[in-house]
Amino acid sequence: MITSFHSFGLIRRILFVLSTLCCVNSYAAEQQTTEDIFFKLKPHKCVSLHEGQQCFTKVKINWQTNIKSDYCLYSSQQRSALYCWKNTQQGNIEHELNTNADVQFVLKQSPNIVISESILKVSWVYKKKQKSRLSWRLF
Amino acid sequence: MNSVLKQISVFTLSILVILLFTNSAFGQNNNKLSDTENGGFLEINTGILALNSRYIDAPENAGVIADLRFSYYWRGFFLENRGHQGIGFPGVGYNFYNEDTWMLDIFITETHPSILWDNEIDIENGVLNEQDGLIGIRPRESDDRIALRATRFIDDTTALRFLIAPISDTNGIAEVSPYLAVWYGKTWQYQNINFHSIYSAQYYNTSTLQYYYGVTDEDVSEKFQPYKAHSGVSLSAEFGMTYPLSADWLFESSVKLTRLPDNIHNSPLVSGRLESQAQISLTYVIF
Repeated sequence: MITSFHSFGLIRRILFVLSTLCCVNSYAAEQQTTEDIFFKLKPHKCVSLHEGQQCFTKVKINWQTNIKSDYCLYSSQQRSALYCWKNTQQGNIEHELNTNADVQFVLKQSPNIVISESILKVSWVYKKKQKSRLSWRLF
Repeated sequence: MNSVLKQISVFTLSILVILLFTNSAFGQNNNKLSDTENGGFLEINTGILALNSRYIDAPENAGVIADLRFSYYWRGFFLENRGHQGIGFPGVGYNFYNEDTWMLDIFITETHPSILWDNEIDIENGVLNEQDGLIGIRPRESDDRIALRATRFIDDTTALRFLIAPISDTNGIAEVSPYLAVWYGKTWQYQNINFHSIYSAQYYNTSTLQYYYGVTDEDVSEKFQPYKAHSGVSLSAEFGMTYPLSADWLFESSVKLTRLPDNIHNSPLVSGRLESQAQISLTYVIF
């Protein structure tokens, strides 16, 4: 009985420590206002000739925050992180991609706090009417 | 002036054909696919064209091109102009069949350009002196015909097009004078550059080639000796690229080589067997 009481106390303590860490982390994230965070894609647009075609581009992503921490960059094209940085407050990366839809890039502070996000817009010169456009481009 | 009248007559004829088909059952097909929905597209193309002309004594020159290219559909009726890359002056027609892989049109277009008929058109196209070496022969008007045009879409990047135009009125009366043409075109993408290649064969009968490339008694001079042309096939190959600079602007470039029919390449009006052209241009897509 005494043992189980002790176990319960230990669990409570662990939970407390975890929640404190979480709050500290949240607090740290909240400390970073949007003015403090720089997150830029270049280019931020990709243009292909026909709607539905793959658009190819190499995106340069630059970011900077005011807190040293672990950060990871994610894109809507894949589940795993594109790249992670340890104990830093800035980073840059060049990422080649092809897509036929907008791509969202998200910078997250470890463990999973969204710091900033930006969208690579995909557009087309010729929208829809693929058959007409094909014959138009050809003949 | 004559050219304008001719264009007006082509349009009148077109309207008649269009009216003829207005009440036909064929028109019911066209709501199914987006390709022939009401509406269209319009773009301005301008750039530099270098031309090694087929005509004798034409200087090898480069000129500025400025074309308004468009295609517009209304209830299956359409009007289109490909500019200097097209086979002729604006075509008008009616799309009466449109399924997944085939489109069939009644189409009125120019199958051979005029010679010395209206220099203003050449000036508009920036090819200023292409036919100056022919001065002295009788002018030849353009060959505008009613045609059946069939387009077969083999896949998303490949198309075949056929044109059959059996009747000509270049000699003042409607006569059987077959013109047949086939084009095979393919596009492919590398990064954001779209390449295309087009191969074509065009058959002209004796009457047509004699009209444009023959030298008759009324043309004969020291420079132009009598010549009789015969039927033949013209072959061409084009390779080009299109690069989207933005959602509205395109950069385009192409080269085209045309091998003239065997039975006209030694005509006094013709400079050789091959005609070539190359162009670089910018296109603004209005809609």
